[in-house]
Amino acid sequence: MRWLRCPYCGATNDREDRWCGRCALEITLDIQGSLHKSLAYLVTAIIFYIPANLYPILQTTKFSNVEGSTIIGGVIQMWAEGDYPVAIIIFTASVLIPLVKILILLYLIFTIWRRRCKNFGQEILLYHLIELTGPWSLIDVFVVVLLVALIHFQSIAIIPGIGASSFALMVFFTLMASYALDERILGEICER
Amino acid sequence: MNDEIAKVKIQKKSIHFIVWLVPLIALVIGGWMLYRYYSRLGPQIQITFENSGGLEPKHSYIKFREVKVGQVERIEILKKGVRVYARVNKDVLPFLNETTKFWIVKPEIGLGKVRGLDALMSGAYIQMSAKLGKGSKFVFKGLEEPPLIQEEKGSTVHLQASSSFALQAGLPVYYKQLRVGAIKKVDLASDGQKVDIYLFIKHPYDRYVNDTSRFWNIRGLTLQLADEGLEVRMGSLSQMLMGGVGFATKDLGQKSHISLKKPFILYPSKSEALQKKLGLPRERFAHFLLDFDAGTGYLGIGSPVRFEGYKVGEVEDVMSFFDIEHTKIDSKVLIRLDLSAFQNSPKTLGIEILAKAVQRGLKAKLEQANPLTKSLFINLVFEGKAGKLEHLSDDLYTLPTLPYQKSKLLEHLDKILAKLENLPIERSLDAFSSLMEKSKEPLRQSLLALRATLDSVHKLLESNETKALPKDLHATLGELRKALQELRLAASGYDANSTFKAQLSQTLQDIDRSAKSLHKVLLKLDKKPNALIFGD
Repeated sequence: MRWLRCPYCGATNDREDRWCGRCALEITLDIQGSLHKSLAYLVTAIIFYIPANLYPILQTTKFSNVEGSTIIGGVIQMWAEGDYPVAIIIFTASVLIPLVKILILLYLIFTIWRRRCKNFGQEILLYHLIELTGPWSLIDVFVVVLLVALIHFQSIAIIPGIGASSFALMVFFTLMASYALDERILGEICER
Repeated sequence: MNDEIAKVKIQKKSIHFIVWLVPLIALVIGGWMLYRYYSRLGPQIQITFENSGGLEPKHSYIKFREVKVGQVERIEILKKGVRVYARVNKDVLPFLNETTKFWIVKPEIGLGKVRGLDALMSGAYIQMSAKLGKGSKFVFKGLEEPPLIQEEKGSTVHLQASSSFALQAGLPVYYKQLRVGAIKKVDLASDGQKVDIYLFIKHPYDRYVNDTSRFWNIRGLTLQLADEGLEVRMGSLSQMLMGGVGFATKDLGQKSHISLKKPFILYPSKSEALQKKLGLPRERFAHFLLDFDAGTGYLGIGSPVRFEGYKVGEVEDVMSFFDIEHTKIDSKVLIRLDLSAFQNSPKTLGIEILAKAVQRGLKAKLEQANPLTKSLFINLVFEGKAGKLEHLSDDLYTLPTLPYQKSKLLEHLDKILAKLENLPIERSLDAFSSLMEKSKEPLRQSLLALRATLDSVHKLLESNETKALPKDLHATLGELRKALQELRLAASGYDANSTFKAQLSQTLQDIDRSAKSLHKVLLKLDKKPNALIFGD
């Protein structure tokens, strides 16, 4: 393959070029760097995934009685109360999707590392799936932020817990990991 | 060109290394958080209760000195009761020892006070009380009720009463209408007869409690029929709604030493509590069994036992049997005597003084309390031979008794009244008018005699020597009757005579006046029946 797409402006350049002929930004394919960055961010995301699920995401203070609820706890409570759709949405958005995302990223990194491609179409599809869900990952954090901003009585207060910060960081680092993973490498590997 | 590429490669390697710092930092932060969490985590303790009292795992907490020091982690159902697992903070570790007590605080809303309001908002919680001590303990048995001795400074006073007077824990204790404490616990005594009431009196006020203190039940409204008329006393609205316990101390100079072993008496009312008392201020009761053979039918339970007019005890029980052999009632009367009444200093023993008094002839006697209702009371009097005080058991003694003599007074009075009623006054007056026609000198003499008699009756009624009244009255009435008989006898020889007529009207006025005086006496008797015995 003799061509290389500029990741910034999309112009097609010669493979041997270091800089994009149109926007003059570096277009070199750095497989090792991409791999390291992506994996490092992913590991960080995994680290934050643990407190995000173990620590309360919300702390409700009701008449001096502090009550924390974790994501799973909230989902279980909603399920028990019969709010099945909401429970499913929260569970999918907050637990399942981040988990699936982490797994997909791990798979893609593994693929690049082994330089073995099963099915190019499948891998690219997975990558685009990650890119697609990226903007929606912070839905939990948005809910917390909204609740904190809206509910502010004297006796009832909602404070974001450690879980919320960890969750936000986890989402941030999965985004970073998918961003660091250059999809051109996938093409490169699968083409061979 | 080659050099440049090589240079770039080195740079890229360093970037790879830097990137791995990110997860490292995350790990460090996470590790630090974990360390902090576990380093703060105190020991887990186990407390068993009869029931969980509404505790909720992960919700309910443990409070010590109003600080949350732990949280209930889980509750396990045992065969008997429940076991609560709780995690407490490390800083209370030195307080977990033999002195540590746990109990469940539940919200209580009563008329008296709202207790555990915080528990209403937060749900039930476990209260902990402890002193610093050696050794550590992690398995406890929870108390079902709050303990009596708490950390607040003050004293606990034990009262006993025959009834709880509907008092409840939490109701206030007043000293001079000032709130100085609260009732801590009201419970049936172990004998099932009395009610134990424990008061907590706050620190500076507890020194006003000593042996001369008297406690009474505060009732909202007191109606009292006194000599001056109806007296209505009302406390504050809160007192009226819920009541409480009041106390007064006669001798504030006495050293305060409150012991739980010797309970104070809770009097049903203030007036009873502050009644004048013979002997030492603090009561000491002993029981006495008295034998009576008659009259106990009119002796009510709770009737007073008096000595020289002072109330020194009361009747607790009367057990009577009919004895067919002698056709009479055999009774045993159980009384409670306040031995402190016979003491004049704390060094002497009341029972010894009483024994000496019995040796000098002190006996129990049934006496009429009220001639109109026929109710009796027990009077301790010095009469007859020396007796002996017998010790039956622990705190049971006997006193010699005097046989019951039905009071003659009432019979006399009855007879007198009957006679007065039967006096043929109308007929006598009729006779008078006819007499006036006939009688002369003998009548005059008779009338003079009658007048003298009436004078003496008058004098008698005016005089305060009412003790002798029945006998004198009897005699006087005899004379009166005699005089009237004479009058009737003399009626035959009377002739119209103006001076005599005047005398007669004078005499009739005298009779009228005497009758009025008699009426007064009867009114007085009606109002105060014992005036005949004790004087006015």
